[in-house]
Amino acid sequence: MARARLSPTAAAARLTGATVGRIGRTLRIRVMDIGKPRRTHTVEPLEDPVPREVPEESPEREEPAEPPREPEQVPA
Amino acid sequence: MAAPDYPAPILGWRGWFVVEAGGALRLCSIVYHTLWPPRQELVASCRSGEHRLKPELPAGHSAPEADCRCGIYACESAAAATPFLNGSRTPARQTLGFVLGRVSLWGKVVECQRGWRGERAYPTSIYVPRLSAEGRLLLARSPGPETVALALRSYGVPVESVACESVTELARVLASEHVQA
Repeated sequence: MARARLSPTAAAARLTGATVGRIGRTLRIRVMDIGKPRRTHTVEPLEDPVPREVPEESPEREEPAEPPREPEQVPA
Repeated sequence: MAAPDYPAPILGWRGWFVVEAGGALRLCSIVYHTLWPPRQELVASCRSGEHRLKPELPAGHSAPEADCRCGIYACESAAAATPFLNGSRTPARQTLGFVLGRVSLWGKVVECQRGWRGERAYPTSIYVPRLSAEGRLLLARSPGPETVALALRSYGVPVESVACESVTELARVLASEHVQA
């Protein structure tokens, strides 16, 4: 017997273990609860938390400074 | 001008959807489906009015405000970040999976009982659940954890895939690892 395909929300609930209730035609899952505010801070990092630069890829083969020379004829 | 309270970002935990946007995989906020741009901080704005008939504060104020619910959320533990889905909206259509991670918050930060709401945020590490067969069935559209992990390296932070049965178990694994660390 084929399994019923879950909606993304229901699948998310199954995977996260969230509590799900049905409200109208919408599934409702408990929102992230961090409680009531206690105090406000000002945070100014000395170092930038964002890695802004994309690291440059090292070139696999560098261009030779000069084109290779033809072997010279040397008298035997 | 007042001196800052902290010289380093506050570190919390949160969950994201992974969605396809513009041909790439991106982190996406759970409630408002905000895309997190790679290599650029996310800046909070108050959107409470979009979900509430009577928002706590008038629109247009700076975020976060202690008297509102706005700001970029982070939890004090990975376990607290797992039941993160808000069912008043379903996940974005492009949702390919779910990840947990640590996030830096800075700027104005409202400390709450079990987490924080920040003005600026950027992920510092991302954990992709490498789900069991049943989990993979639930996320049939997902390209697979290794592909997701590889794609999310565009954020320039460590990305790791972790074998688990569910995101809840992933949180347990991460909690034990971070206690041991």
